[in-house]
Amino acid sequence: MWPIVKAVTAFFDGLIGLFGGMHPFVGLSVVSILTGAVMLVVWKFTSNQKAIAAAKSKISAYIYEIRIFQEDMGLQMAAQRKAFLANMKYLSLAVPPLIVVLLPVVAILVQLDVRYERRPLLPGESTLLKVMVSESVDPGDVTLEVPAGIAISALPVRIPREHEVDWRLRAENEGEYDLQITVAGETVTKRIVVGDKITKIAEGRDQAGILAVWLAPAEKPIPKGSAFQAISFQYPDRDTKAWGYSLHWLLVFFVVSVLFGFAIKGVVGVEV
Amino acid sequence: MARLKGTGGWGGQIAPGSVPAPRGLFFLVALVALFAATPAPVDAYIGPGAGFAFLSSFAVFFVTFVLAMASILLWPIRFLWKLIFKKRAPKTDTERVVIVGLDGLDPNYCRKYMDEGKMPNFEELAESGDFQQLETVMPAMSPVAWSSFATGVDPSRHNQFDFLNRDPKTYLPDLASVFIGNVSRTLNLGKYKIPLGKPVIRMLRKSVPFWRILGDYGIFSHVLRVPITFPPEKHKGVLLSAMCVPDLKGSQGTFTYYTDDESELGEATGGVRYRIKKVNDIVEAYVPGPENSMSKDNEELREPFKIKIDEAKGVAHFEFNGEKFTLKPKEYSPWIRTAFKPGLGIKVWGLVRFYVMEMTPHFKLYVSPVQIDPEKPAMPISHPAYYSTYLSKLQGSYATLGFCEDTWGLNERVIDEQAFLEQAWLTHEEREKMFFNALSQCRKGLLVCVFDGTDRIQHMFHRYKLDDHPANQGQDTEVHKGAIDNLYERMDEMLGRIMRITEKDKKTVLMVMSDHGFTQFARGFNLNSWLVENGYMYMKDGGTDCSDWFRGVDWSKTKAYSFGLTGIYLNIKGREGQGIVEPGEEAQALRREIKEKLSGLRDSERNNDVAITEVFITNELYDGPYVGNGPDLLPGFNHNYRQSWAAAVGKADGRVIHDNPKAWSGDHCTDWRLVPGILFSSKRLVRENPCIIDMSASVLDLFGIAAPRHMQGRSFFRPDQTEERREPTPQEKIANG
Repeated sequence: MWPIVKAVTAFFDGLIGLFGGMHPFVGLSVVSILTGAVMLVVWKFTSNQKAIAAAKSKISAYIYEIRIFQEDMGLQMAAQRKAFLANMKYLSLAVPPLIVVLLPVVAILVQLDVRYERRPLLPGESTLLKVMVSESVDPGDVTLEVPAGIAISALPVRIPREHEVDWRLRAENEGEYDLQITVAGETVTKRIVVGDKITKIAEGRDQAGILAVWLAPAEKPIPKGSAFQAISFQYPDRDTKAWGYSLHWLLVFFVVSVLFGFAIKGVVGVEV
Repeated sequence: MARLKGTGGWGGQIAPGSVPAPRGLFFLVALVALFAATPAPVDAYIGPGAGFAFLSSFAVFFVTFVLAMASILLWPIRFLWKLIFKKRAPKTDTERVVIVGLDGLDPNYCRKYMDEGKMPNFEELAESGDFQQLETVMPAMSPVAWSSFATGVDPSRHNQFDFLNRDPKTYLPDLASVFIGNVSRTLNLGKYKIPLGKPVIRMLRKSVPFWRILGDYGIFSHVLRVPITFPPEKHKGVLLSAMCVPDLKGSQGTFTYYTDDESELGEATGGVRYRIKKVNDIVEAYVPGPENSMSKDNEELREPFKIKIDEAKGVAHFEFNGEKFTLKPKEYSPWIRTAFKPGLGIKVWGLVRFYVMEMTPHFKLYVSPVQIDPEKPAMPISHPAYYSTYLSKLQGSYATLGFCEDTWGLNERVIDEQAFLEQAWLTHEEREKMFFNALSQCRKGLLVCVFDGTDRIQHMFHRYKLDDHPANQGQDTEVHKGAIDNLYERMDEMLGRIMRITEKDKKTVLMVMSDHGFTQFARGFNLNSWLVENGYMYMKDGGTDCSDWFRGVDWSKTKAYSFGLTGIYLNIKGREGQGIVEPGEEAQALRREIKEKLSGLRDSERNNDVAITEVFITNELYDGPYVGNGPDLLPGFNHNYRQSWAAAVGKADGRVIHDNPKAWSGDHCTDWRLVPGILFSSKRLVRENPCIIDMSASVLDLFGIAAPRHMQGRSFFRPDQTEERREPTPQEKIANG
């Protein structure tokens, strides 16, 4: 599974990398537009287009009915009820295509999430590295080796009861670094990114299952049976501004993909 | 140094042995969990399709909620407004009146089929209520009679004498009921001329329909497809226009016929025939649309289509306006929406049906007239304007053309009887849906709906009822012999369904009526030829014939002329463009002279039958303010006779009386006394000899409203009282002997 995840991730690396020097929302918007277009086509072929058109027509009709019989409370209420039921029917028609597009869209969202939800550390910022090990090893034996550009700013804190050992790290120079963590003769790495570019970042690395690798595509999972249970640290939230306002990437994704979809739905001939 | 948050992305501590998932992802997972409860929030994040679904649904909830709140809050204000400012009718025992108009249903057929037990529901209604003949007006035709129905006045007061009127200055025809003008000001922009304003569409029927009077008293009316309601007039209620609503070309229905059979090409009345070529089983052609009024050249707008013929499977695959569909021979397509594009991104929406008449050896295709799309009407066809859209959204596309059953298609034999019948019944089903929907909504007030398939089917299938009808020559006389019987039986079945609904409510009065009856049209009478023969009309070449719309007529000698289905006009000085007859005594003397000569005229070629029972001088029959707009003389044709097809379009052809070989073989444009309509009522009539003019006053009376003084009709639900009695019209005097 990992090679597929890796390929998908590489594709997003390449695509978003094209807009590396630009505002973060440029790349995000391109992905949103492409997603909008592709999902619209998928929607077309996985939904019952005739039934959706019919349900929409009925909803419109009942809203007209509310207008036409505005002086007749009984008919008004009946029209409201019919509009509600037609609306429910319309929503139910969205379920089958929703199920079809759910997984690919989740995969896309995860790819965006690892790039836009948080940002890399900036030189001078600190973070807390947590290493969880299995019960069979002593957390006191865990060692950490950091490359140049990353400094250990405090002595490790070991919590044997939790099988945990923590280090405080400080970013010193821009770059992508691999921390080397060793215990019982086994060494694993954990990537840490320092800088201000849009790139995939992973806060944690653990023994993920086959499906879970889709949810953590930035770094390969720790092999099953490893003495390491999980390695993690925290990146700061990304605060992206557009026209002076902080905008969450998910909102941008939603608005851009929906607006683009709306703009081309006539061209594609899709009933949504 | 930036401060790192001490908690996980979703606000909690990182659990031992776990890795913090991305925050957005958690949100997504939460949404997926929510999915089980309601799909809506998840939709918002699953691409644009679902995003729209979510947004639209939210908008629907929001709009319906706002509208509900608004109507609840406004209700007391409305109530007070009505209480203070609106006229109120006294309480009566009638809260709802349902009028089912079955155009052309004939009392003699009804009686016959009831006697035979084929119309049990009509029988039941007659027994529990009433059944009488409903006297019609002269001329006995739908636009005239339904106008009298709506207004309660005779033709000289509502200004409708025929489908067509003439421009007296040019002798050329105009629609009698509506004026459709061009936009007066345009802006020239390159190849375009942009209209600055809307075209003038003006109703020419005068007087006031009774549903407007009901509205003054706060009574809501549903008026569906009553003839001569285009353009729609405002009133309290809803209205869908009917007869005289044009197609997108602006005509009263222009079919298109495509064939590769050379023998079938040529001119056609009511349509256009096109030659097509089948190349490698592919046919490419176009549906002709309206003229492009935005273009300086006014060129015809066209929408191309492509057909792939699969002879092995016996089907034709169509591609039209982005839609793909497949038809077998003798099968109608559903309504296909088409957009004609005059430019600047504007679209004019229409509806057509396709019908493959034949696949091999020749490919023959019929396309219905391009109807105004009721969902996006190019001109208003309903009140309120969005009512047509509402109906379209509710029940799907439907025919909007005034004459949507293509009688000319069958007359010209581009479709056969089966195709015509299917078309008529498809249209009828659309009307039924509208009617029953309105019936469910109309709990108080008026519902009137006219079904005109009854008229069209009788026009086209009457020949089957007369063995020696000239139209039977060389045509089928067996397959559709029962078309009219079936029509009456189906109307009875529909009435049964209506009665099951209305009989539950004791405050409902149900009336089933027709505007006229029917008779055979076996012989055509060319009034122009008769006028030529008798020295009232002259040709420039000294001959006896003139072509359409009087081309070749010498107006300097002509005293009288005829066109349309109903009458003779005098060529009066000062009124007509080249008039020669002095108005006043000379004109009246001429009227009397022609009346005398024509009344009782016999057909020597057909048993010496009387062809014209009596000719009526219009200004002696009627005295309303518009009497001068109608024909000067109204010939009352006998059974079997009617104005000939040629004379109807202003032709003289040297033959006065001749056979009618057209499929349009039944008619009612005769002496009105021969073709009364029907009136079935769940409430017993108090007065006998009801007339269609009385309908409006009777409905007003049911709601406790006195008929206004201008109305000539009187309620047949109450005996005449001295103060209400008015002088009978000459037509009534004649009708009553």
